Amino acid sequence: MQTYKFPKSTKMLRYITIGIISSLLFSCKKLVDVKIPNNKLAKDIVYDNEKTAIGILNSIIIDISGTDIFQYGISAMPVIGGLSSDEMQVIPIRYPTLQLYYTNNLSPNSITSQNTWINIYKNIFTLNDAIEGISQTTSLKPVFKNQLLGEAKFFRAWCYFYLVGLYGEVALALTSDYTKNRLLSRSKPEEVWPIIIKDLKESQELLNSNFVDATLTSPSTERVRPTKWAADALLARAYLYTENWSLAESEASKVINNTALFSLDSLTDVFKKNSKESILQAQPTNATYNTTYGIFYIIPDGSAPNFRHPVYLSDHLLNSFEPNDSRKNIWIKSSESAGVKYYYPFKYTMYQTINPTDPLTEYYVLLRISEQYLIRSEARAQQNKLSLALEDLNIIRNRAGIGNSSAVTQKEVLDAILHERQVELFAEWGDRWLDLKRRNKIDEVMAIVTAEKGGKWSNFRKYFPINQEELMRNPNLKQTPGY
Amino acid sequence: MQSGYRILSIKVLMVLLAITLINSKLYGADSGGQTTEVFYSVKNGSLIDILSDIGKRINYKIYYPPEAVDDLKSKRYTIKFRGAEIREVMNYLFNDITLWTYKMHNNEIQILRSIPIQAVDSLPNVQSVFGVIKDISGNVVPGATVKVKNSNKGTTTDNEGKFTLSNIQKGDRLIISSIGYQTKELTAGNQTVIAELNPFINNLNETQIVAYGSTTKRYNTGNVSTVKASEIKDLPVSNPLLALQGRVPGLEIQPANGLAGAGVSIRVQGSNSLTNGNDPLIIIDGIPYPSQTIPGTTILSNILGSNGGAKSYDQMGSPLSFLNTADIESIDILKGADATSIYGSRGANGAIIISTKKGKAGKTSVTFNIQSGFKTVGKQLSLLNGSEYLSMRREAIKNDGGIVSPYDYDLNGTWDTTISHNWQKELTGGAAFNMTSNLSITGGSDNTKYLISGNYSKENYVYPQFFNKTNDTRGGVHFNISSGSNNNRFTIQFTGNYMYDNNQLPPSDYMPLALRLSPVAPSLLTPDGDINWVLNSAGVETYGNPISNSMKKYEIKSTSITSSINLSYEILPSLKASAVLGYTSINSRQMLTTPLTSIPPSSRNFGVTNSLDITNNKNEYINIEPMLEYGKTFGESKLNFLVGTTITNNKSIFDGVLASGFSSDLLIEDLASATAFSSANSGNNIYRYNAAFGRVTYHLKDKYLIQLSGRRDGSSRFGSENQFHNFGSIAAAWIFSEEKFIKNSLPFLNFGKIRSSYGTSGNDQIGDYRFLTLYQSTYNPRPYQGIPALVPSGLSNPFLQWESIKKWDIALETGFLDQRLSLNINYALNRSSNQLMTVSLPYTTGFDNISLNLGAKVQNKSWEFALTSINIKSPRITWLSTVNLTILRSKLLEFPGLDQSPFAYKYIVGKSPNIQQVYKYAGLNDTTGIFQFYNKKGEITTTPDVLQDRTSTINTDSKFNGGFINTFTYGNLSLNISLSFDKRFILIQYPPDQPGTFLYTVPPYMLDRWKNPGDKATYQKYTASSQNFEQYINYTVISDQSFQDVYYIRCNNLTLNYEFPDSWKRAIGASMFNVYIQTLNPFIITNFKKGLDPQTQNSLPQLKTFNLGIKGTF
Repeated sequence: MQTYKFPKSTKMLRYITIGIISSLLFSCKKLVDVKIPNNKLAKDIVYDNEKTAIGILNSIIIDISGTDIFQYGISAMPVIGGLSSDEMQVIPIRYPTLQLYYTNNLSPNSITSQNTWINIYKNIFTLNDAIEGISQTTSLKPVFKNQLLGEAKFFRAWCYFYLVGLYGEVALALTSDYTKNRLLSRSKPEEVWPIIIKDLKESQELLNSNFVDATLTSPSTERVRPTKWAADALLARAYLYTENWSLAESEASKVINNTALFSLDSLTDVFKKNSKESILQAQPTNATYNTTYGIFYIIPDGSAPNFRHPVYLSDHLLNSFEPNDSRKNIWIKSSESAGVKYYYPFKYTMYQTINPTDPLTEYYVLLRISEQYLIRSEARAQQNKLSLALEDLNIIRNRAGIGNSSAVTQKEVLDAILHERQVELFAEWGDRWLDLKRRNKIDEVMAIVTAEKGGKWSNFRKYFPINQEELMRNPNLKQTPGY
Repeated sequence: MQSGYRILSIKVLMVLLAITLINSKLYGADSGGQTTEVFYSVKNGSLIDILSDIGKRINYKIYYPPEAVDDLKSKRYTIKFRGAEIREVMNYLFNDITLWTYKMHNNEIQILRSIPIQAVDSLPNVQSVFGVIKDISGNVVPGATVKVKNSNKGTTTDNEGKFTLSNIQKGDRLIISSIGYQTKELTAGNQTVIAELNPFINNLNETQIVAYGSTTKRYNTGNVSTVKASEIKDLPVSNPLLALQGRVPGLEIQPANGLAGAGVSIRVQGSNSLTNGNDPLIIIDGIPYPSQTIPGTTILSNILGSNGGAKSYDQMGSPLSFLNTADIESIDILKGADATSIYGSRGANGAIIISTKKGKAGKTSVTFNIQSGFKTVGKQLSLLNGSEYLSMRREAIKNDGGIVSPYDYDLNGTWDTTISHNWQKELTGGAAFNMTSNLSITGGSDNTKYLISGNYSKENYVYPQFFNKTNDTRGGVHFNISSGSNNNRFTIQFTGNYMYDNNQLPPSDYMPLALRLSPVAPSLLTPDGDINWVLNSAGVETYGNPISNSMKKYEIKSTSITSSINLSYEILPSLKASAVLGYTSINSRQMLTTPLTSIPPSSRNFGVTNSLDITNNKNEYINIEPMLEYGKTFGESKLNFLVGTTITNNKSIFDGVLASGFSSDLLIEDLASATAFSSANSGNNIYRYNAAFGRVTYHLKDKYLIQLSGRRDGSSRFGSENQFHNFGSIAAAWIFSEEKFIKNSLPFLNFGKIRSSYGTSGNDQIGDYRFLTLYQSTYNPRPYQGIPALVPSGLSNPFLQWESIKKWDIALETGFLDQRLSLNINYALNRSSNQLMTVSLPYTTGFDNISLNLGAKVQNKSWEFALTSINIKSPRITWLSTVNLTILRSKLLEFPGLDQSPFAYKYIVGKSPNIQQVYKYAGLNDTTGIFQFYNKKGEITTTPDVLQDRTSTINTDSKFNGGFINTFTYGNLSLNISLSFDKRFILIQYPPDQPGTFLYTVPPYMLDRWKNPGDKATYQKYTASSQNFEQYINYTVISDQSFQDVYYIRCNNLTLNYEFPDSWKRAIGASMFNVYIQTLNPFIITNFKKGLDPQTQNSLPQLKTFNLGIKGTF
C-alpha cells in the first residue's frame, strides 16, 4: 500500500465532511416536513375564513341545482323521477341507465344507477363537515355564522328529503365521522322525517329573512341563497309529506303571505332569473350557456331525440292537460322528425351558446310560490276546508288560463290537486314520482304505465335498490326490500 | 391446459438436457492441474524439440514467441528423466538460460523473456506482435478477434489461440474480443501478448451495480441480476423496460398496449402491497426516477394505459419511455433483502438501477447505428361478416319477441348493409414506418474522458385511414464527462440525458372498436374525409359515429432531463468521501383539441362548442447524497465501511385548462382565441424524504463474506407521529469452491457460492398528503355569487404508518467447466405486513375509501433459476444459451377481521391475494337458453347472489414464467432469438357485448349459441334487449366460465447480424461495421384464441416489427 503525505488542509476537510454528515443525520425532521399543496386547504383554515366557508356551501348549491344530469345526483331528479313515473320517455339506445329508470327495472347490480345514492351522500358528508366546522369556529362573525349554519341545515334537509323519497329507508349520517357512517343501518322514514323537520326549524331561526349577497349580510336582488322563507317552504312540504296538515298549511301561509317578496308571475317569466315567483333559485355557473336543463331537454328542430337529447315527454303527461291550458303551449314544445312529433319541456327556454361575458337570463328554480299554493290547498282539503282549498287551487288554474275546478267532494278536490301538481310541476324535481307514492296512487298508475314502457311493475319498485357494492362495504346495510 | 403445461415442461427439460450433454461431451476429457511425472530421454536434442516432445507425452501445451525459436533451437541437451516432476524438469532445462524463462499454469507452459522489456521507448516504432489469447482459467480461445484500435488492422486467433499482427505502432491499443467473453483492451507494449479474457456469460468478475456502490458477481452477497447494454442495445423499443421481458428471473414486465410510451407494469418478486404501489425504486445514475407519471397527466386520455399502479397512483403512460435504450450501459435489478434494505422505506418492491454509458479513454471514435422498417399488428381476429351479423341481429330480436325499431338502423333499411367492412383492416391494419438512429463520439485521455451521443427516432402508428399524422418523434442527447486529478485522488463525473418526445396520439385506441364494430356500420368517413354522421333530411345526424373523436388532435410533448454529478475525494488512502448530486425533471404538455367537426351537427348550437384542453405537468427530483467510505485490508481480511445520508425533494406540479368557444377550428390551438375558460384544475404536491444509511462489508480469505446494512429514514407521506423508521439487513456468503476439499473432490466445479440474507424494508408508495383532510376548489367559469366553490377531497387518517416487509433469501450460485455452464438458484421468502390499505367504505361516509394500516400479511415465495451455457464454441461456430425460470407463489397469510371487513369479498386467508371469487358456471339452460350458475347450496340459479354465491376461486397469478435466449454465431453471421413464456389464468375480456346487441359484432365461435329449446350450445341465446344483457354482464363475466388457463411463448426478438469481413472494413476505414435484420414480436405460440394477444387482450398488442439496420464505428 502506498502512503501519502497529507497537507493540513486535508485534515480540516475531513473534519468538515464528517461534521456535515453528522449534522445532516440529526436534522432529519425538518427535511421531511411539507407544506400543504397550494391548491388545497386544511380544515381549520377553511372554516375560519369567510370566503372559503361560503365556498363549501356554494359547492353544494351548484351540485344539487344543475350539474351534469348524467351524474344522477339530486340535479337529475327531474329526469330520474320523470322517467320512473309516467312523465317522460327515453330513446332505447346509448343510455342503459336511463333505460333502467324508465322501465322501472333497476337492479342492485346496475352500476351507474347507484350514482344518485353516491352523490347525495357526498353532499351530506360535506354538509355534516360544514355544520361541525362552522359550529366550532370562533373566527366568523355570528351573523355570518348563523346564515351559513342555516344554509347547511337547510340543504341537509333538502338532501334527506330526496333520499327518503327515492329509497324509503335511508342511512342517517349526521356526522362526518367515517367510523360511525361506515356501519350505519337503514332508518325508517318515521325516524328521518323528524331530523328533516328539526334541521328546517333550526334553519328558520338561523337564516336571514332577506335575500343576501355573498357577504351574507347585505341584501340582494338575486334570489340565490336560502332565506328563512325557503326553510318555511320546504318545511311546509315536509309537513305535507308527513301529513301534518295544519302545520303544512300554516308554514305555506307564511310564505304566501309575504307578498312583498313573492307572487305568481306570468308563465313565461317563472323560470327567468329573479322571478317574483322564486323562493329559492340557483345561479348557473357555466360559461357558455344558461341552465343544463335547457340544453338537455330542448330537441333541435327537425330531429328526433338523440344521444344528446335522449329524453322527451310522454303521452300520459301530454294527454293530462285540459283543453286551453296555456302551460301546454308555453311550457312544452315539440320537434318533428320523420312525421313524428317529439314533445319536450320548455320551462327553461335558453339553449343557445352564449358568450361568457353575456349575462344569464334563466336561473335554476329550486322552490317557487306556486307549489306553496298547491301544498296549502291540499293541506286545507285534508282538513276539509274545501272552499279554501279550491281557492288556492283556482289561483294556479287561473294563471294557466283555465277556469275554476269543478271538484266538489273532498276526494274530488284532492284528486284535482294531484292532477294540478302533475301539470304544474312536471319536469321539476321528480315531483310526480314522489306524489304518486305519497298519495298511494303508485300501483294504480304504474301497473299500466310500466307495462307500456316494456317493464313489469311491482310495488317494491317504488323505492330504488342500493348497489350491491355498497352493501358489501357495510354489513349493516340491507337491500331495499324486494330486490 | 394440463397438456400445454406438460409440453412446455418437456421442452424446457429437453433443452436443459441437450445443453448438459453437449457440454459434458466437449469438456469431459479435461482434467485438473495435478502433478505430472515425466519419463523421457534424448541425446543432443534441441530444447525446442525436447519441449515439444515432453509436451506431447504429458499432454501439455507449450507456447513460445517466434523470436525465441532461434535461442531454443541452439540450446541442446543430453538428458534422461525417470518419473521426474515436470516443474523439476523445467527448472533443469532453463537453469542456465538467461534470456528466457517459463511460466506454468495448469497444463500449459509459456516461454517468455526472463527480463521484461523495460521501456516502450526501446521498442522499434514498428514491430510484429505475437500473442496467445486464453480465458482466466488458462484455456486457449480460438477464433477470438484481435484488432488495433481505431484502425482496420486485425486478425483472429487460430485453433491454439495464437495470433500474429505485423506493422504495429508502439503504443497501439489492441482490442481483443470473442463471443462469450468480455472485450479486453491493452497496449501493445511487448512483442508477446498473453491476454486473459474474462468469460462474458455469468462472468464472476463482472461488475454489478448495487446500492451506493458496485461489487462483482463473485463477491455479491445479495440477489442482483445484471443486464448489459450488449444484450439490449439494438432493440427498437420505445421503453427500455420492454427489452427486459423474459431476461431476468423474478422480474415481470407487462406492457399495457403496443403504443409508443405505453404504460408498463414492473413487478420484482411479486406484489407485496395489497392496495398500494408495488413499483420498484428506479434509479438512473444514482438519482431516483419516477416510476409513474404524476397525477393529473391523464385527464385528457387514457390511451397509453396504466402502469399497473394502485388506485391513487394509477396514472397513464410510463415515464421510462423518456430514456433512450441505446444510452444505457447496464440495468441492475436488485431483489433480495441484502440488495434493497439499504433503500429503507423505498426498497420494499426491489430496485432497478440504470447506468448510462460513460466515456472511454483512447483515440476519438465515432459510432453510428441506424435502423428502420415497419410495425404492424400482424394478426386479425376472425369476426362475423355482414350477413352473419345481420342474421344474428334478426335472431336476437326474434328471441326477444320484439320488432325492428326505428333505432335498429342496421335492420330497418336506414343503412346500406350490402357493404361488409373489415374494420380491423380499416382502423388498425396499417404498416407503420419506424426509424431509430444513434450517433456517439467518445474518447479522451486517462484523466479526462468524454462521451457525447445523440439519437433521433420516429414511429408512426398503425391506424392508417384517419391518423396518418399520428406518430411519435423523439430526439435526445446523452453525455458523460469524467475527469480526475493527476494523482487520481479527486475525480468528478458529470452525466446527463435529455430527451424530447413529441407523441401525436389518436385520442383513443381504435383496436377495441375494430374488434367490436358491426361490419355493416356505415363508412366512418365521407369521401371528403369528414366524419360521416349519416345526416337526415333535416341535417341531423342519425349515427353517433364512434370515431368522431378522430378529428381531435391529441399530443403529448415531453422533455426529460436527468443529470448527476459524482464527486469523489480520497481523504486518506483508505478513506474516501464522495457525493452524488442529481437533478431529474420531466415536463410534459398535453393538448387535446375538440374541433367542431368532431361534434355532432345537432349539438353544435346547444352549448357545445369547439374546445381546447391543455395540461402541463412537471415532476422534479433533487437528490443529494454525501457518503463516506472506508476500506482496508488486514492480512486475509478486508473491511469496508460506508455511511451516508440522502436528502430528496420531489415536486410535482400540474395545471390544466379547458378553453372553448373558438371562432374557427383553425384557431383552436391558440388559447388567446378562446372566448371561454370552462374548467381548470391544478395540483402541487411535494414529497420529501430524508435518510441516513450505513453498510459494513467484511471478507475473510475471499471465501467468507458478511454484510450488514441499515437505514433510518423519514418520509413526508406520513403523519408526524409516524414519520421515521429503521430498516436493516444481514447477509452472509460462503464461496465453497475456494475450499481445498471441494477443489479436489469436484474439479469440474470452478465456482460455488451459497449466500443468504435477511432484512426489512418499507413501502411508502401511498400518495402524498393522505394523512390530512384537505379541501380543493372546483372550477366554475361563473363562480357562484363570485365566490369559488370548495369541496373536501377525501377522508383522512392522521395515524398512517409504514407498510413493512421482511425478506429472506437463500441462493446457490455455481459455475462449471471454467464457467462455461453456470446455474444459479435463488429462493426468496418475502412477507409484508401492516398493510396500508385503501379500505373501501360505503358512500354513506361521503367517500368510497380511506387509508388505514391493517394487520394483513402477504407472503411471496419465489424460486428463481438461471442457467447459462456456452453450448458450442469453435473458431467458426458458437452457440450460447441462457434460460431463466421464475415460480412465484403469493399467499395472504393472515387478515384479522377479514370477515367483518369490506375485503371479505375479495380475499381469502391462505390463498393468493390475486384470486377472483366467482360464480361456478352450471352450463346453459337448454330450455330458456341462458347461462346458469350454482349458488352456495349447490343449486342451479340464473340470478346468483353476488355476496353469497361466488363459491369458486380463480388464482390469476402466473404459474411460472421466464425466458429462453439463444445466440448463434457462424463466421461473421450471428443470430439472436429471445423468447419469454408465461402460464396463468386470465379473465377473457372479449367480446364485451352480448351477441345480438345493436352495432356490435362478435367472433364466429359465438355462432355456437342456443337457438331452440333442447339445444346444447356453448353460448347463450342472442338478445338485443337489456334483460339478458344483465345476465351476460353481471353474472357471466364474474363466473369461472370467463377464465382461461393460458400459456404463451412469445418471441420478443429475433436478430440476424452480419459483420463485414475485415478486408471490407479496411477498405472503408471502419473498425466495426455491421448490417442486421431486427424483428420484434415475430411470433407467439399460445392456446389463447379469444383475442389478439393474451397480454393485452383487446388493446393494441405489442407490434410486430421488422427493421433493417446498419451500424459502424470509425
